[in-house]
Amino acid sequence: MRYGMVIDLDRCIGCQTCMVSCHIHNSQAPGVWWNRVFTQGGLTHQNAVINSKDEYRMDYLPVSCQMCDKPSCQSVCPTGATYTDENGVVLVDYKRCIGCRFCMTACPYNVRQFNWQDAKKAKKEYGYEYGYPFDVKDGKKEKRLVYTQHRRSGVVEKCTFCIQYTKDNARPACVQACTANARFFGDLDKSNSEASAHMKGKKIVRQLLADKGTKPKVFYVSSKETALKEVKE
Amino acid sequence: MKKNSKLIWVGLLFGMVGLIAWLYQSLFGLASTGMRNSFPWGLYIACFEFYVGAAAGAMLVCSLACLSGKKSFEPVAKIASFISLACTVAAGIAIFMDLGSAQTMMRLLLSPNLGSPLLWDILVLAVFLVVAVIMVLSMIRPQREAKPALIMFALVMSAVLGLVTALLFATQKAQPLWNTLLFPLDALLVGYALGAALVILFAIGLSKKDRVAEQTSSFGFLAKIIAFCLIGHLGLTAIDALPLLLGSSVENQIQAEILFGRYGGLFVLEVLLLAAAAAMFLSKRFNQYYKPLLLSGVLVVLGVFVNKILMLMAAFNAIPLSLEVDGAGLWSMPVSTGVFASGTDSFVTFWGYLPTLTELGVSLLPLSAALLIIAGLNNYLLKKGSEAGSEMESEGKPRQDLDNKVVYRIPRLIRIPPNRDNP
Repeated sequence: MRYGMVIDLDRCIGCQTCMVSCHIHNSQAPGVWWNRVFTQGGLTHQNAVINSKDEYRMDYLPVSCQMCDKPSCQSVCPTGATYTDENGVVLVDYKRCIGCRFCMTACPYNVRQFNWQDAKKAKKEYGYEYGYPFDVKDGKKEKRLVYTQHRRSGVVEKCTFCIQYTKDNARPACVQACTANARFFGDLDKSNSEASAHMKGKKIVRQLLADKGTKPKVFYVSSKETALKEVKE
Repeated sequence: MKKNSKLIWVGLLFGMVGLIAWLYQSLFGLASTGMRNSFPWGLYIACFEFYVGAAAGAMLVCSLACLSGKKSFEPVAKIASFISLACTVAAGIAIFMDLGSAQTMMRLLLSPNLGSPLLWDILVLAVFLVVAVIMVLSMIRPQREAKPALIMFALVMSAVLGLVTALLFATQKAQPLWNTLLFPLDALLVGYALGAALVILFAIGLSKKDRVAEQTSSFGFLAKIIAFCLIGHLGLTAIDALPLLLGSSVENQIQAEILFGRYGGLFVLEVLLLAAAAAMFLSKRFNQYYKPLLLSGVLVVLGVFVNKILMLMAAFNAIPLSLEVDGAGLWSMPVSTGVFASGTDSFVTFWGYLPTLTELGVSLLPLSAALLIIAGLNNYLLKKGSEAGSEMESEGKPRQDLDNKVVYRIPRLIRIPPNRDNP
């Protein structure tokens, strides 16, 4: 089993609903964002760019953890806190993380988020508590804490493909929330999975920064060229 | 040498301030620093790199001085061994200060990932610490002089420590500014220059000005090491800079804009400081006199510190996920800061990192440890020397320093094996 995600750039309308649902379902502290969506080339989000053909363009780029098959964050982690589970999902064991932030410097996608402050206090300060409330542990011999509502100060966190839901065969929050049905999740080893099926017949299928050798399991599909020019197939 | 209680007091004061700042940081988290998600390593890692380089450089000087067998090199060997030990301890403290969850450090032993360069660096640092302690013991206990095999091992370890630490950075494909073949060699050269410069600074600072000794040859030797390393560093910097200036890829453009644009001033400052120091260390007009040597040493310390902080500033602000957008030019994907602050952006494409007061305070802690170790060992040596019959005071009358030349007399408490002695 190799969980992966396909994002259809033709469908994405840049509404950032996936960002917000990810933020809330995963109980992220203010200022922490596992998922980002921005307008390519825009000074601000939803700011159109006039291209060389005098066309107004608003192409979006959603980026969260690319769940790499060769994750650079995992190889540098000195305690093995970052690991890949049996479904190919790259996770962080919050009990093992020593907060050295080596993984953050090693990740070319800047998706890793550090708890610079006490997350529970920070959330309380803004008057709300949210997110999946139960701990999720992984592993047979040693139980690894891969989800907890309030991560302690000084540990790194990132997208887990919503381990709290996918362990029960549900889809990640961003996929469920996407208003334009632009996200597809599933087993990349199965040709009939939602993700694999959506890649079939697409003109352009790309991975972000494939030249870094990380082999991401998040694929971007589109029917026309976008600014993802240097993103190699 | 002279007893230096000022250094002890400064060390204690720094230690107090550092401890208070560290307690504050422990209470409020690393949010009290200037670091954020887009800039995850700051002053502490720059200090770590700085101390590791200095420790490796000082150990190189100590080993070479011992291997030379010259008695005139003994004082330099002693001071170098003190600096090496002090900087190794300081490096360990600096990395500890930087950890977000230091309470889980035992995980390094319980579940180590042998593939991580950081784990190897910590192991090498631990071995280096043991070597540094043994070298210091051999320097302060005349009856236990260092064996040639140990000195050779120390020499090798100075290179291993410098290179393994540099590999922490050089192996990261996400940071193209570090991910070059030349980076480890460059870091090693910079560290060697720094270590040797610190040896000169402390050797002069801890000596009585009116004491005479035959130390000019050892300072001349150190000056050559420093000048060679700095010229090598400047050459490698030019080689690394060429692709950024001439290359047309998005990666090159982003890096060039950050390194020569936003941080162009710091880059020029580093080059000027180190080039001036190299020239002064090469010139006989400067490298044999007290004040110019001090000034050159200070230039090296400042230049290397700028190098270490610039290394982080330039790398983290060159966001790898950058695209060339038709009609908009180069565009970098915004990164979330990790801390919400009302009225400021949570997403940035540039983080103008500046250390906070807390960070500056905490960074005094490793410096304090280094100063206390050097001053403590120096004072111990002097006390032991006077107990042993004031060997240092009985080596002939001080000569008048007529032409302001560097003429120091530093106690000979180290014993070089008789067959290695070169009178």
